[in-house]
Amino acid sequence: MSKADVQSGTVAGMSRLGVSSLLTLVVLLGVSLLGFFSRLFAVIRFESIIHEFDPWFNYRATYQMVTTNFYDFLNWFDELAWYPLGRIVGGTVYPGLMITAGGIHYVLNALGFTTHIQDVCVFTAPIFSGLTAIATYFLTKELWNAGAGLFAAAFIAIAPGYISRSVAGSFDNEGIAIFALQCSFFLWIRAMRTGSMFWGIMTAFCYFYMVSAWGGYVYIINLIPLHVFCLLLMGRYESKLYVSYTTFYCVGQLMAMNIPFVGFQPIKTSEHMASAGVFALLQCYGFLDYLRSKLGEKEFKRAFYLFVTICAGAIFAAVVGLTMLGVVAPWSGRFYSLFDTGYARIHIPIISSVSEHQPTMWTSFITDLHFLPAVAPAGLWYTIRHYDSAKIFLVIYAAFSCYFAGIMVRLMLTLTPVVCMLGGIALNVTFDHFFGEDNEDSQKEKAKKDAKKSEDTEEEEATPLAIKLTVVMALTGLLCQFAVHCTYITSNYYSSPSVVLASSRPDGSRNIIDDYREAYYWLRTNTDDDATIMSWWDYGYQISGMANRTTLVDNNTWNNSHIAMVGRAMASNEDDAYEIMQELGVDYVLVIFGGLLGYSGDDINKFLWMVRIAEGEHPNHIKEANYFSAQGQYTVDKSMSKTMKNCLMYKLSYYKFGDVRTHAQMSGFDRVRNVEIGHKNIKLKHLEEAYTTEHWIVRIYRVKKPSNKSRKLSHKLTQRKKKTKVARKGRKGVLSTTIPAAKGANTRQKASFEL
Amino acid sequence: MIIHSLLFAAAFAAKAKMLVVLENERQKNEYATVLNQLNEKFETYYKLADDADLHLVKYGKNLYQNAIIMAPSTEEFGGDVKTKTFVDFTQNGGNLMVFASSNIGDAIRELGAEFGIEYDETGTKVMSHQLYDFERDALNHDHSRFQLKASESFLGGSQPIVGPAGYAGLLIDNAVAMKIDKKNTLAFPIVKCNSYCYSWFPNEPITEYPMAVGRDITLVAGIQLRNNARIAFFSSMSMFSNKLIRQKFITYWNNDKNEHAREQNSVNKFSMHVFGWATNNSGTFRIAVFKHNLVDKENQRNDFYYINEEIEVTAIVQEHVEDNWEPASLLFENLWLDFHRLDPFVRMQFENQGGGKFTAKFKVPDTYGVFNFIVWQTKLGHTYLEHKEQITVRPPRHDMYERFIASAYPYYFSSFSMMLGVTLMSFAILYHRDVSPAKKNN
Repeated sequence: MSKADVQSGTVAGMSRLGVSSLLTLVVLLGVSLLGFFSRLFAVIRFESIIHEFDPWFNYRATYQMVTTNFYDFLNWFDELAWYPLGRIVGGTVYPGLMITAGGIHYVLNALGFTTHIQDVCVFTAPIFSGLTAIATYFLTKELWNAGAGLFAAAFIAIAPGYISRSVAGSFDNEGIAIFALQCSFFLWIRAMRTGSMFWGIMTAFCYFYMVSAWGGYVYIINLIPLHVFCLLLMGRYESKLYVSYTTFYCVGQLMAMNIPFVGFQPIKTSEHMASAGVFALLQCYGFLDYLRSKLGEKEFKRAFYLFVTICAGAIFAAVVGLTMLGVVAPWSGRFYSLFDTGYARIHIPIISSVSEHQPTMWTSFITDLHFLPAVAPAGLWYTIRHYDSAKIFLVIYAAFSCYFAGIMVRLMLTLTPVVCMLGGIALNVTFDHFFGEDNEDSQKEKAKKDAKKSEDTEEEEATPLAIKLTVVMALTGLLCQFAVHCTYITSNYYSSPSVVLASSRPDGSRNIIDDYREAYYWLRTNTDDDATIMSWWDYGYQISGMANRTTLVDNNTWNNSHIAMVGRAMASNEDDAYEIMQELGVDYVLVIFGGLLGYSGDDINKFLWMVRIAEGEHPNHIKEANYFSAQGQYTVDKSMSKTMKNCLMYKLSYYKFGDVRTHAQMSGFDRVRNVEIGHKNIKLKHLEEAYTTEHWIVRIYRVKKPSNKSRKLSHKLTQRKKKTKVARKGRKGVLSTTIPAAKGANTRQKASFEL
Repeated sequence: MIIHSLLFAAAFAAKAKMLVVLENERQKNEYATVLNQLNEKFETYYKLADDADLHLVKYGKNLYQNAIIMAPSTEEFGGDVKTKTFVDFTQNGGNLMVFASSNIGDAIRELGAEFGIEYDETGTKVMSHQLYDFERDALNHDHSRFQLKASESFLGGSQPIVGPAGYAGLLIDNAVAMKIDKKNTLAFPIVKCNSYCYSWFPNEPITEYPMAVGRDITLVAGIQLRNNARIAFFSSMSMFSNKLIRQKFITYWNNDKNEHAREQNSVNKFSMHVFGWATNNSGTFRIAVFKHNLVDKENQRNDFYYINEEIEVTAIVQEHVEDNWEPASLLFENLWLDFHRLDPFVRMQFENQGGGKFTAKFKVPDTYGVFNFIVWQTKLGHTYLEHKEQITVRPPRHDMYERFIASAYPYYFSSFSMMLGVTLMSFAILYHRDVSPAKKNN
């Protein structure tokens, strides 16, 4: 609309431009504020606390950076993690998040607003969600128009699919990465549209920010080349494309290589080869195109495509060849598992053991996006119908996001922005059609334009008012429902910090279960500073973040064999586990047990994954089949196997649980598995219970030192003749020999010295 | 009252306290020679085994540093002393010496069993038909007083338990056979029988295989628990009696000279050494100082190291002599060091600088992580020397690498030449007007 006004050049048009851009500004500001505030449910419901697992590490790293300086952070060697291997944090982390939060903290404090870094970390994700809404507006505006942009911005601001990763306290890479993603795409579209080096370099900068923030940057560096490749295939090559892509690629990859964690990956790994291949192809294409323009021969036209195909083939062969020779690293397991869903389950159980790496259930599409998946195809159809070089990008973006979101729950996150954009486009078109035609000026204008373009738009005029109203009202109702749904999902499902649990009492009031922090606080205050705590890797970041103690394995699952060792210790019997724990220098063992409360995310439910991971590395010691009952079930009741009964995890989880009267008639009834446990009288030999939290969720055991004593005789003593035993009287002892009769005078005497 | 005075005594006494448990009063005279040795070195307290007021541990604390149980026939100790009391006593670091004899009682038998020592049945004796006391046993078959040569029965090697060589032998009397359980890795024999010995009821026909014969029979056994508490088990008590110690010359048949030879009974010297060991007065060492630093930079950082740095470790070992800690004697020859991270990355011997000072220099491995300096030395008769110190080995800082390396000069050249080229090109394009477009337009 606004474009049309500018073209008309009238005074009224100018003022309308002012009003509409003011309106846009207000709406956009409102939307981003809305995005910010709707993420504060977590703070209101619980408290200003860091959530879940990874954010604890990010927080700890940020804290480290803020309290020292950037270079110390870059060289930070974390000795609390991965004992005794340690972790070079600077080289194994995407530092964008820490730098962002640290920067905000620095600016605020420089301006005189004294804030603690924890509060900055808690609110970083909501702030960036507001910015994402703005970036989405610009991207959609670039691809379609401002109206669609506003819709998309409003959608992305409150869509639960994005909120799930960016509530206050969820201080994770994804929180800022989606902003960087949308922003880079916007800048890329702008760059390829204008063909300006400036925008190309801006894209590269934004891409750099994305690289520094999230491993998902691979998505950008594959999607943009794919876009370019598609344009080449469609014969839509133009010098603008050449300029923008080559600037973006060269500058972007050069900068990406400055992130220590990424290093030389952009030129060494298969994930980046597509972009390099397209870059090379674009050079050939550009060169041949230049030749063609110079030669201008008709015959050359045929040869041209042949040359391009040969070039493409040669580049492809070169990449494959380099991979075969080992110069270029093949696809990593994580990347590969995106294309073969069964791959991770067989080869890298540690990836598929994570619940967020499971395939998505269809219900979560509704939960996370409400009606958007239904209208997005319409948006896609409009996009394809009115396609141009830029809009093709949206199509590709949508297609890939849909695919990835189907593979992993986690990647719902990349689907959300594109669905919001497509939904925005669909709704914009619909509203334009049914709502926006009452203005005469624009009607004329539009009619003029449409007449030039095509004939079929004439039908629009014929829509009756009743239908218009019905459709508009229906859509408005849907939008209201969307808002209600998003608020509901956000407040009830996505705002739990998972460090603190909440349950509702029968009268509806909320009951806060704070066992995790209780246990970590106990560890922090009651154990030696250099005590080493063995737990399953899920809790590693939390232990080092909250308890400040050394862990063996944590959520940065870089060393599979170390994790397998811990899994093996958990899955072995106590004697074997003790040996492993001695070797690893373990002082305490921490297990999560939900049987008393009915908290299903506990270690017994994760135990099969531990067994699988351990079996992957130690197939001679651990066999998954041994942990199933004779009926082939994974159970903890009487029918469980002997291996299961004797394994450390079972013992530590259910130690003394058999004595707990959980029901009127039963004791030791596990409320997660809904069975009475099979082995109640558990005795520990090498470990002792150190602490169990209020609801038994966290149980901590101390590993005993080897006994001082030498070994007792285990067999019966030799006894050939029967002896009569003299009974003991009172406290006096018994001697078998009586005092022999006196032989000398002095022996009769009373002792000359005192006793 | 007694306890109070004992506690005060413990606080001020220079001498360690020792409890002597006897069977009867008369033993004080019978064993005066041995007991006098102890009286000199320790503050001794005498109690009878069946005394109703016998205590070793009170309120979880040891009342004495050492206890010597010279009551082999005890069926049950008086007071609150049970087998478990002895376990507690040693767990608290107390040293124990236990005497048995052929009339061994259940309490001593159980005490042995608790520590992995098995005794033969009451009434059996260790006998030898080779070098028995034929003046005494000329007519009966009870050859339980016999002689053992030091060379064939004593613990060998250089260790502080029996000390250096110079023993002739021991006169064994009325001993009950003792066997060390094979699973008991902490126990070791100090005196073993020679292969002529066997254990059975004297003057009775042997109806089944004896519990132990020959070299299997241990006469004196030592145990050092993991907390360095020491226990010595003696299978014969009467061999330490005045009478047998005084019997200075024992006789045996010298085949070479074809006559009865006379040699000195070494039991006095032997008991002094073994008692000294068992009461932690010999072979007791500690690492008094353990420090590490960069080579020749003692006052610089030593809380972490970077990979491939040269570091130096110094340990000062002290020996417990007469209630004082003094630099370790020459007996303490060497010390080993592990630099350990799951596996030992460095395993080396310290250099003995004399005076108990040991130094080791090595290069930190090219692997980062959390390492431990580990000294873990278990030498027979020595206290377990254990020292563990955690240290972080870091990769170099980003600015510790060489800034300009020769092999990178081609790349420096290429990038600078590229920059120059781009500048020149830009100039050429911006300020050079091509004539051809004009022509084309025409």
